[in-house]
Amino acid sequence: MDNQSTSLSGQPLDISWTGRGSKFIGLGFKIFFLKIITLGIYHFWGKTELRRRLWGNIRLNSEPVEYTGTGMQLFLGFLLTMLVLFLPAMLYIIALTFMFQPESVMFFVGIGLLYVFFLYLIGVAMYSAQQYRLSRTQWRGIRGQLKGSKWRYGFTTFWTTLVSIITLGLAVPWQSIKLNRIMTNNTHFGETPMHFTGKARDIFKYYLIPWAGGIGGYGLMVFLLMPVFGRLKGLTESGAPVDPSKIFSIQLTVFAYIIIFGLLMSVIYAWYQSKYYNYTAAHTHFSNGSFNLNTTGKGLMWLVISNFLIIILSLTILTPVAVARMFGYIMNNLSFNGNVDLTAIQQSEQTLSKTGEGLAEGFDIGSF
Amino acid sequence: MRFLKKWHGSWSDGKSAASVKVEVTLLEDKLAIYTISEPSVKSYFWSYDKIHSPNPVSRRADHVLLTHEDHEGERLFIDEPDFAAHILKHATRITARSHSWAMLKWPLGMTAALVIFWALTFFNIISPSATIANMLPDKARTSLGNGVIKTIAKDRKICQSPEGNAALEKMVARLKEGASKKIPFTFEVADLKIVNAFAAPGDRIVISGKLIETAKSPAEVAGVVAHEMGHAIERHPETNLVRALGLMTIMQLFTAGEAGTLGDVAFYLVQSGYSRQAETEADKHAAKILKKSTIDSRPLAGFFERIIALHRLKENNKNGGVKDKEEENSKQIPDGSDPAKSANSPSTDKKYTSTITEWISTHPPTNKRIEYFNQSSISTNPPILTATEWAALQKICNK
Repeated sequence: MDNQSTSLSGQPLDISWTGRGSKFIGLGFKIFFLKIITLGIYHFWGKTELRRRLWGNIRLNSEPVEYTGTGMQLFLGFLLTMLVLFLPAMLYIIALTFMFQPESVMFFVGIGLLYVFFLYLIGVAMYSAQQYRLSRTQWRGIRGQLKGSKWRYGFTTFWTTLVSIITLGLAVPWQSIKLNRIMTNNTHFGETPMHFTGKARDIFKYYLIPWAGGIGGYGLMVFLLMPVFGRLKGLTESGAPVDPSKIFSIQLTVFAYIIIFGLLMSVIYAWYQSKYYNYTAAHTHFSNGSFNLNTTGKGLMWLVISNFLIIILSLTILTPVAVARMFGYIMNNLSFNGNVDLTAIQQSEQTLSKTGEGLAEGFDIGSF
Repeated sequence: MRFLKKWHGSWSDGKSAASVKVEVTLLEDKLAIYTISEPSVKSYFWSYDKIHSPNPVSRRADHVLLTHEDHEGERLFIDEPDFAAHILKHATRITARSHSWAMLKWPLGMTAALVIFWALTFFNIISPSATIANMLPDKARTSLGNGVIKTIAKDRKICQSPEGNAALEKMVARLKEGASKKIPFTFEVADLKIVNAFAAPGDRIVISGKLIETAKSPAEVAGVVAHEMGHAIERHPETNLVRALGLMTIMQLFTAGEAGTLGDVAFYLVQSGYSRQAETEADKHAAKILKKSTIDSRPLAGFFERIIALHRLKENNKNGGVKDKEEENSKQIPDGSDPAKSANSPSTDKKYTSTITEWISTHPPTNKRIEYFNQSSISTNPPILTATEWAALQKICNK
C-alpha cells in the first residue's frame, strides 16, 4: 500500500519500472506464433498486448500506468490509411502511367511529387501515432493527450529535415530540439501541460563530435573502399566470365566495412544520444517539477548493440524483449524532481478517436 | 455475522489524479469500497460482472488494478498479495482466459474470413477482380483501353485502306450480328509484325496485320476475332487489368516506381493470357457467334493446328541449338492455345522473351480446343468476303 495516495497537493512523484526483459520472452514467442496462424493479422493485437505489458510495468507512486488502446483500433487505423491514402496513391500512379510515357520527365515529376507528399506525411504520422498512444495512456484513470496540429508538425518536420540535409546534418540538434519542443509543449496529462525549455545551442557542442566523426568516418570508408571498387570495375570490364567467388569476397569486404563503420558510429552517436536524452528530460517541466534522466553513453551503447543482437539472432521473435529492455533502461534512470499537484490534474476533455495511428502503421513508424 | 476480510488500497475517481485510501471487502455479489481518508466515510459498490482489469490478473499477482464498466474513469488499486486469489473467484473478466479470448476473437475470426475468401476465389466461386471490372463505368473502360493500346502499339500505326476497312467492316458486322449481347465493339488492324490479336478494355479488338496475312481464309480471321469478342463480352481484359494493376501498383509504391510501368501491365494483360476457364468461356462465345453468323468454325481449328506446328518447329530449333533462330521464334510465334497472345512493344520484346517461352511451356496448346471447333457441321454461307475483299483486307497494312 503506498503512503502517498492521499489527495495532498504538491507531492513527490516516484517513477519506477517493475518489468524485466526476460519476462517478455514468452510474449515474443506467443505473438510470433499467433501472427503465423492468423496470417499476420495478429500484428495489431500483438502490438497492443506488448504495450499493455510495458505500460503496466511503469509505476507512478507505485500505481501502474495503463494502456487502454485495442488491437481493433490499430487494425481499423491501418485499413483506413490504406483506403484513404495508399489506394488513392495507387490510382494516382495509374493515372500518371496513362497520361505520360513511363520514361518521360513528367512521369518522374509526378512520381516525385507523390514521394514529397509522403515525406511530409512521415511527420504527420509520427505526431498522430503519439496522439493516439497518449490518449490511450492512463494513470489513475486520467488520460494523457497531445494537443496541437499533426499537419503543422508534419510541415515543420518536412522543412527542418530539408534544412538538416542541406547543412549535411549540422542542423540536426536544432531540428530535434525544435520538434521536441512542439511535441512536449503539446503533451498534457489530463489538462495539465508539460513545458519544454531546452535550447539547441546547449547540446550543439556535444553533437559536433559525432557529426565530425560521421563525416570523417564516411570519407575514410569511401577512401578505403576505393581500391575494392576498383577491383570490381576491373573484374566486370575485362569482359571475361566473372568468378562469383571473387564478387562474393568483394561484397563481403564492403559489408564488413559498413558494419565496422556502423558500429563505430553507433558508439559515438550513443554518447551524444545519452547527452541529448538527459538534456531534454532535464528541461521538461511538469506541474511543480521537472524530470531527471541519467542515461550514459556506455549504457545506451550496450543496450543498442545487445538489443540489435537479440533481434537479429532471434529472427525478430524476441523484439518485445529488446523493447522492454529499452523501456526498463529509461524508466530505471528516470526520476522526477519537485512536486506534482495531483488534485489540480483534471481529466482530459478530449474526445477519443475510434481508430489508432493508421498512418504510422502504414509507414511502419514506432517499433513498439 | 460472518467476518469479512478487508484489504487496503487506493481509489481514484477519474476526475482528478488524486486518490483516496480505501478499505475493500468482497460481498456476495459485489465489491464494496469504503473511503477511509476522507472526512466522512463514503462507500461505493462494484458489481462483479462488470469489473475489468487492464492486464490479466493471475492468482499470485502481488497487486491488482481494477476498473468498472459503470464507473468510467474510476480506478481501484490494491497491492496486497492475497487479494488477487480472492477477487478471481468472483470477477470473471479479469482472468487470463477472458483476456486471451478478448484478444484472439477478432484476429481469429478475420483469419477464418480471409481463408474462406481465398478458397472462394481459388475455386472461382467469386472473383473480386471481375466484380470490380464489371463495376467500371464505360468511360473508365474506354480510357483504360486507350492506355493499353497506346502502350502496346506505341510506334505502330493503325492500318487503314478504304477497301481493307470496308472488308473488315463487312466481316465484323456479320460477327456482331451473331453476338448474343449487343456490345459497341470497335475493331482495328495494327501494324504489328507478329501474329497477334487481343481484346483491350472498352470492347476494343485489335488484330495484327501479320495475323491477317498469315491466315489462309477469312473464316480463320473471323474465328480469331470471334474468340476475342468472347473475351470482351466476359470483360476478361478489364478483369486481368484490374488484377495486374492492383499487384503492380502495390509493388511500385514500395519500389519508387521501379517495379515496372503500365507498359509492363499492359504487356502482362495480353501476354500472360487468361485462365483456362476464361479461355473456355471465350471459346464458347466464339462457337456461338460463329454458328449464329453461319461461319464454319473448323478453319479456326485449322489455324490452331498450324500454330501448334509452328510451336513444334520452334522447339526443334531450340533443341538443335540454333540460338538466334530460337529468339526470333519466341518473338514471332504466338502461343498455341490462343493466337491472340503474342503482343509486344519494341522495348519489351527482349525483356519478355523468356516470359513468352515460359508461358508456352506452362500452357501447352490443347487438342481439346481443336476438337471443340472441329465439331462444327455448318458451312460458311454466304462467303464472309469476296476474293477481292479478302485480298484488300490482307493488304490493309501494306497498301
